Amino acid sequence: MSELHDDLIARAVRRAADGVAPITLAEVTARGRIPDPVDDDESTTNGAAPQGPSTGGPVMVIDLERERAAGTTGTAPAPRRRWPAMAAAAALLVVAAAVGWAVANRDEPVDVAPVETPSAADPLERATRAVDEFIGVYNSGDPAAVADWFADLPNPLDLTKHVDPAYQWADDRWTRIGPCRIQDPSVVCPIRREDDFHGAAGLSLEDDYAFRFDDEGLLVRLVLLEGDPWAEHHAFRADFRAWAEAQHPGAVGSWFPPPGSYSAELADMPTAEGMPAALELLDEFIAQSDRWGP
Amino acid sequence: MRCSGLLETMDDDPSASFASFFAQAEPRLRLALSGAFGAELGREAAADALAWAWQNRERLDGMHNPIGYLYRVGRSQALRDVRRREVPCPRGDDRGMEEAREDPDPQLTLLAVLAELPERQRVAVWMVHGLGYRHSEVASLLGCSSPTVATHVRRGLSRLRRHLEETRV
Repeated sequence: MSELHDDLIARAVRRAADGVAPITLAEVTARGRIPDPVDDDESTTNGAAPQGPSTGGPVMVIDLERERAAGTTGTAPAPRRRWPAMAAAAALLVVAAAVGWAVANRDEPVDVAPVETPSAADPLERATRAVDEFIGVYNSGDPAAVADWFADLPNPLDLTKHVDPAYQWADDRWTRIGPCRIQDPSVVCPIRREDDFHGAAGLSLEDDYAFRFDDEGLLVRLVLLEGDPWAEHHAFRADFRAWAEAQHPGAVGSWFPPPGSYSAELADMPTAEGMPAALELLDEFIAQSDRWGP
Repeated sequence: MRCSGLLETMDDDPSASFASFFAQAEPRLRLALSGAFGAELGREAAADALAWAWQNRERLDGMHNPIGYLYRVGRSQALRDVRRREVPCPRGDDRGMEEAREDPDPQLTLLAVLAELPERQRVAVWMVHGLGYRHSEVASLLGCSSPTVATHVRRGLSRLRRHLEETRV
């Protein structure tokens, strides 16, 4: 069913797009002067490019009449009511205009083109931007959005173990704490990681991560340069597990992954399913621990 | 007169390279801006962006991503056009969108639902799913990464599928 729906969506888009006549070079060169998108805008007196308002919402003006006309060519014409489409088109125009009205009355700058700088072509800057964007997506806490960043690989665990959902359940947050450097074919960036689980013990991680992107901008490799700098984290996890099993026998086993099912880095850490329960016990553990605390 | 003068210049060349750039940029800008703002406004915005490119073609050479830049130029023009329309704010009981959604033609109702998506989701679904552009091509237009485009496509499609399921198409 989903494939049928996807096909219907694609056909609707193609039909609408086919109705947009190509622009000719003559048409373009005949146009009067187009004001500079930066200089012309009163809000950019300093020459900066402000971030404009989003057009999110129904600003798109779909020419439903045109779509109707396109839809009837080459196919048997079916009886159609014209007034609903006209009303819909008019309503969409009104909605679009209303968004414009709102924009005009919000005293916010209209979006303008960014100032293009030579540094935008710098591979390091582009790679750094990609890393920052990945970090932003990761910190948003949406595992599906994070998964979209990964290329399809035969053994994705090597790639995804650093962003296991268990970390996200513990509100793992990444911060780039310094400039990146190119270490071909990767870009290496110093990252600080802080999460609520390890943070209860006063632990965070600061280390260099190597990111490698493919031509499509998808991650194909994500590794720590140090290998496994989690020694103290492992010690904390082991102490916590031993305490939890002693204090709450029977409840703890299911919080951790079955032996051999996870990579060494994650084998002693609660799974995504077990993390919420583990977090609830942390205060109790920390209060009783001589070794661990913020 | 201005038109013929410019065309003569084109014929004499200095800007054969612009013609080549135009051939590459025109469909992408026209289709993307039509996806964002609708057929009429989007085409007009794309033509304005390309005219700006023609008038400032010496600046294109130094740009890393000129088509992405022009998308922003066209977007600015479209937003200005929207802002300049002096139409009163719609009443709260305006039912036009509902009528469009209830149109018996499922493709038209789909377009009405598509119009309600956030702009970037809309453009991503339009370009990638509908027109077969690569994630990286749309990413360069929108100034974001390929995975972000993939996310926009996934979320936009999900909403459209939900609409289709609700309407039992």
